[in-house]
Amino acid sequence: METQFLFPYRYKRIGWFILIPFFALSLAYSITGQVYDLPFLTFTFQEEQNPSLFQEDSFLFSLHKENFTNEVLGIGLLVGLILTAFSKEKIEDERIRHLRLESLLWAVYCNPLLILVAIIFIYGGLFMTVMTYSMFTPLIFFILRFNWLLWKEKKQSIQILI
Amino acid sequence: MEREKAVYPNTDIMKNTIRIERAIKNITQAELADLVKVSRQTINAIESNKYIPSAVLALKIAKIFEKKVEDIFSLEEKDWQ
Repeated sequence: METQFLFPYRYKRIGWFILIPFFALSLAYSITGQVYDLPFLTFTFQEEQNPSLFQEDSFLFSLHKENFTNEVLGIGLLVGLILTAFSKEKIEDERIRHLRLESLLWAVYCNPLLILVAIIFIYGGLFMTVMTYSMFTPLIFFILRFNWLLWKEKKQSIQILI
Repeated sequence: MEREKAVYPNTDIMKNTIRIERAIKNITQAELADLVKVSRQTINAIESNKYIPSAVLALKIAKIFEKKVEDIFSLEEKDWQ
């Protein structure tokens, strides 16, 4: 497996710096019942032809307000996940490539299984929420599994060190 | 032939004598890793029979120890399954 599509090693740290705050913020955004929207991220658009449900009619033209907090959070989370997941390790050798491939397979295995469970047991608005989570869970699973494998190996190698 | 089950955790896949060869040549895992350009964890994983090296890596290791590949790595029954 060639590693030409991976970011250089230094991007891993950048990825973590982006990922951790955005992950915390996104979690807070989704878990709190009330969605908080940052006021400065609200923009108004002028709708000319199709009136939407959120129409605020004034006499002459219709305005449509859209808040971009969730978009910003989603973009930040995804960028952080991509940078963290797909950066090279410090030393890229064949064992790391093998572990990465295995972790990817594992993550892609787990996600549909989780969706299956969600389809059977979760309904309504909560199901939609879970489906939005499933946009991010493959990468999250991969990061968790890959780093766990590396940590486990590191721990064992310290014990067996001659 | 008796197998040394006490030393290595997994003896059913390909065995290797890298640890012995390293002792003969008196180099550490880190030094061997630098010579073949892999990480030290990889050498450790190969010695512990947790990872089977690629053909290229096996040939490199054999060359470092100035032996043939078959003298260092040996197939086991489970490899045939």
